[in-house]
Amino acid sequence: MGKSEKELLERPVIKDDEVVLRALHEPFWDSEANRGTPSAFVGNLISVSRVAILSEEAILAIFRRDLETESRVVNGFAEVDVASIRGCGETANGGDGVFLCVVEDPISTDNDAHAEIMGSDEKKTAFKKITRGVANKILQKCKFKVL
Amino acid sequence: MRESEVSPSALQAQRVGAVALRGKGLTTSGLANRIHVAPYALPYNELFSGITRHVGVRWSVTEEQTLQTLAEKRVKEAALQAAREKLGEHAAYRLERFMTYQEGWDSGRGGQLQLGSLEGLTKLLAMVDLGNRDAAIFMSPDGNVVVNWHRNQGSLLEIEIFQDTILCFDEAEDSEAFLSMDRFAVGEYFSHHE
Repeated sequence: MGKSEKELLERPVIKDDEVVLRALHEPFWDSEANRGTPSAFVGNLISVSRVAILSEEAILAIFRRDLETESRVVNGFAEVDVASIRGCGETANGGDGVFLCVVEDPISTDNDAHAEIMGSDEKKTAFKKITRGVANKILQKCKFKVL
Repeated sequence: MRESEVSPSALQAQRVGAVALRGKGLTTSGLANRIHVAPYALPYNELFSGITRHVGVRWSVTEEQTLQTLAEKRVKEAALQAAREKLGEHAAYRLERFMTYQEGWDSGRGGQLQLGSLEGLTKLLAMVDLGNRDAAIFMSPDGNVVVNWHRNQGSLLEIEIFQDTILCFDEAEDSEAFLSMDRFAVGEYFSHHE
């Protein structure tokens, strides 16, 4: 049975100095245009993986295992630290919109390093959607490693 | 079964189904998912092997399913053609691939490409010329078509396309707003966001 919203909101938070990776792949990445879309971070509970738990190579192998199909390859990954992600939240900038954090989520995808970028209100009582504006700020903080 | 045994609505369904079959070149397994075989039809294999010669006589189609299949095909073809003509081969190629994505394509999340969004894309591309904007095509986690490009001054403009509206994100203004899929509104918006 899936976790309740309350349980999801109360998962352990990852520290600011950690670095996480987000897979770059179609349809979020266009290798010919060599750019992505903020949509890769729009919504909520965005999948990332922690470099503190597994090496980049191991994480990349998991991305390939989980995401690649006959017609789709993983083009690389976006790398960003937790502090930068949190700084993109509207509450971090004095607003009353989305509060961002990165939470541990090691079980759900058979990936010990798995975590999720989570949007909520500041007291973490309810989810809040990560808008395209906020997502674009996160995207701008990313360093891209294209394979 | 004879035609006289078939109700008028079933005949109508058969006629529509026949058009769909001739035009689509569906596989047997594809057909099995799309048609409802009448209980008094021939055995399964014989039915499918003779289907192009005996449509309207030996099988019946669930009208709603067939119409839906036809409509989906037309929507997809129209969107692909519009993308090819207005955004180029690469965009059309990507769009065609997005159409193959199954539910859960993003680590268990990620919705299938929305037909309404494809309809919206076709409508939008008939209204505005994005061909000279270095536009790239993507898909949102909800399965909507997303197009983005950099404006003259370098900032990103990204639109998420729904059936009758567009969600426009302007990086320069850090603003996001819904726009009605209306020729005047769209023309006005795009002329101010070169």
